[in-house]
Amino acid sequence: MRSTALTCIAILVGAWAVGLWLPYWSLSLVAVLCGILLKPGAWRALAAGIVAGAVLWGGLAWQADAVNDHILATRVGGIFGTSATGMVIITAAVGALLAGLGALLGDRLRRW
Amino acid sequence: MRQIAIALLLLFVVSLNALLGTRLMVGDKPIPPLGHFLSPQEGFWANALQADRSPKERVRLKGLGAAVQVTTDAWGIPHLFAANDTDLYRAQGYVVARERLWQMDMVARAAEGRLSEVMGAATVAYDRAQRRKGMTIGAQASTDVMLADTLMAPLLKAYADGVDQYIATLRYRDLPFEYKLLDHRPAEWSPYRSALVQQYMVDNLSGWDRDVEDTHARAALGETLFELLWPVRPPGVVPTVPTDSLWPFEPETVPVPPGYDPGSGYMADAYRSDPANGSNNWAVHGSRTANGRPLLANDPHLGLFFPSIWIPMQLTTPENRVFGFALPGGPGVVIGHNEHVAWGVTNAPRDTRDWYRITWKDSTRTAYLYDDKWLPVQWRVEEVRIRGERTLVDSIRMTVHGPVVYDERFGDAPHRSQLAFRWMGHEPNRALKALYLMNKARSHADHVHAMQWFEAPAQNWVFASTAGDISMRVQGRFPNKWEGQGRFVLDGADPAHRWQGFIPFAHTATQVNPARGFVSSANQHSVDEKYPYFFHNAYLEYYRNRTLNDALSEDKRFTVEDMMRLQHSGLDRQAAEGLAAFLPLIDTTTLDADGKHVYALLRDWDHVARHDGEERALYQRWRDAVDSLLWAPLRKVARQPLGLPVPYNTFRILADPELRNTVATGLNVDPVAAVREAFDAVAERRRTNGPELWRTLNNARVTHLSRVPALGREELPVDGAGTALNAQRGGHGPSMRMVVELTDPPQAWIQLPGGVSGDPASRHYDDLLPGWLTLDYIPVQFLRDAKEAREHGRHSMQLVP
Repeated sequence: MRSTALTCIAILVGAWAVGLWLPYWSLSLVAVLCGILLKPGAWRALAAGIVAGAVLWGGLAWQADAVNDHILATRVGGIFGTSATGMVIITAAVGALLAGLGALLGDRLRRW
Repeated sequence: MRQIAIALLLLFVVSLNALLGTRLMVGDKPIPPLGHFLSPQEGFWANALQADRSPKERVRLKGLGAAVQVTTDAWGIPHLFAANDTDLYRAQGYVVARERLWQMDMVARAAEGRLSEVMGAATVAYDRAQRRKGMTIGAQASTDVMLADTLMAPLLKAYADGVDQYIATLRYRDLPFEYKLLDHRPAEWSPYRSALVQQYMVDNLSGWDRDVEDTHARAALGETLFELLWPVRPPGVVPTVPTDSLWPFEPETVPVPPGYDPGSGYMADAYRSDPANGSNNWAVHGSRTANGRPLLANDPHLGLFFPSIWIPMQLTTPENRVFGFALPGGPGVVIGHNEHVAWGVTNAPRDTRDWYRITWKDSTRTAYLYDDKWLPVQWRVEEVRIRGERTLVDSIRMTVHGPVVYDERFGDAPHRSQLAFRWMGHEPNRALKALYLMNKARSHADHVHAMQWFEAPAQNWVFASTAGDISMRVQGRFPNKWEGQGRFVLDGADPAHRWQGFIPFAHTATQVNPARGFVSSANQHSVDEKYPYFFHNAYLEYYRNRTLNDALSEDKRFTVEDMMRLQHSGLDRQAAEGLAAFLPLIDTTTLDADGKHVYALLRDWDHVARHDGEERALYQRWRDAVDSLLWAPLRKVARQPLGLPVPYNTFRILADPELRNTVATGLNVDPVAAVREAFDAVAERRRTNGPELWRTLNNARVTHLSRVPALGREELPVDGAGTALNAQRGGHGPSMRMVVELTDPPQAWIQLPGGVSGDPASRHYDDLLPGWLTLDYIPVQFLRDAKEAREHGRHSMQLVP
């Protein structure tokens, strides 16, 4: 459990910091590195990555949406056929996918 | 085995990331690279986060002589305070780019025929048409004369530099939203691109003619019937500048060549602008206003878009203080007022586009006859870069007249005759200099001085000053044509058919402080038959101008509120006159109950185009059906489409039994039966579908430039129609409204169908739209200096060297 939480927090903090400079793929990259270095095990890596990716991307998106009074996300939601909240959820899901698979891959690469 | 599984997982994660970095096409809809687009730290969420600016900013702008203060008010309208003109325009470039970069980039691309670099194959034909009709010829010529002008060159360069310095600050995460959505990058700005924006307006406002249709129609119908259907000047029109007394000049005459046969079988111009791009403007003399000060009003009617076409702003230096509406991409303001004068423009339609029949030497079409000699064509090679496809190389034949727009490579059948295109839009245009001088004008004399450089697109300039003058000028550079020149296809082999010169500036049609106490224009005939130069345009406005003149002729003293109410008037004179022609032709005794009801609705209507009423929709359907039935024979008399006579002329014919007979005989059609059949169709439609609101049929709307529906607004509640002063016709209407009272200093009230910001994340993207639908105008804060601005502004930015 401890390693799951640690991996999750490491991805969260690491991906946020690196994301200030690098594009979206840095989320996968950080998750892979955390998977390699923290040795969480396959399922825990996957779970930690999913939670970290969803919380990071979903949380930041939710915050941006709140600051913006949902103005832009409502318009973008109109393009994607959903609402502002729908855009937050989609964003969280993509974040979860990138980080979850990244962490799993990192964990597996260690066992190459 | 395990290694294979891991390798596959590795491959999958890498591919997923690569896929999310790629722009995809689903059908014809592009999907932005979703990894970049959705990432909260760099994608569209970053735009949401940055939409509200901090209340105080300090930004470095290299090249400034001194700091420039930019204060924005509650509506986001920027007020700039600079030490001199160069600093001012550098700052204006920066500030406008910050609000509208994507828009100005795309408008310049559209003008230049470079949309396909962003949009892909869908816009290739449009891009080719832009290049083939010579958009870049005009923009390049204009750039050359402006950069050779020692006054304008530094200002245009400073403006471009301001834009480019803004672009240089942009990482992906800072890019305006639309760049992320369409996945492209801003192109560098330059004086040439400012000229392209101006060229776009020239095309928008003078990019229409029906020379080819008229040539075919005259050949098919004969002179008499043709002149009845498409007269140069039907009876009853009221010009912008009436002849009050003799024109105080001796006109320059041009020799009229002998008659000729313009031939037939031509390709009609397929890429024309909307001929109804029009506007209203007027000024009332102080002797006729409640406060004794002149009043000036202007509302330009254009396609309505997000971001708004105009950006309102105040531009201030120690010498000059001007408030008005700028076009993103162009320095200064186009319409507005300063401390001394106010001005506005409407389009002054005039035929400045002509087509010349080319006589080719042989089937290679590389040499053509001109002045009894065979001249070789010059080739203009255009490379159209297309996103996701190979670059298309287009070769365009150039003649002494201009480009051969349509040929075997573009838009035309190989065997057809071909035409060269001559247009004022190919000429160097110094309108930006005229605008610059107008921004600083202090008197009517200064206005006239500035107008020397206003060449295209020809505009009706309304003017008023705190000194009490009002005036109207039909300003542009016009070819001096012989009677009828350019109504039909001209002979490209005959030098006498070329434009022989231009109407001298001193012979401009103008009216200063007329006895009637007002001046007005609404895209009608510019002049009457006493003006000693040939005037012609195939499309002119017949209704708004008379509504306006009637209102301004009322025996009363006008207020600012009167001006606003006029701008919002939904009274539709076309419907009134159309119904006056149609209704008497209906034998009411033969109508059933439903028919009688529709008849009564239209008979009793007050002709105000209310959005929540059905009368204007019934009229529109009736008029369209009459056009379609009455003029159906025109579709059969020639192989090419001839178009329709204007409604004004259709009504004139229907109201006059003798003219009806001429048409009945000439076209073998029964006009009275056509009106009745059209009425029955409208009544039947109502019986089947129920009442239809004007709001639904007109669909007043504001569309985002990218045509993405979610970024626009539809079915707006507007009481108006194309031929009412509130000229709302679908996605076309008043692109802004301005009323100025020439107090000291002048006070302006404005409206905008959108907002100051082009950023869909900003509250200023569309916060002015609700007011535009009503009589709520924004009183302009015409701030005296930077100190007063700091006290009133919401947000302040210091641009420092």
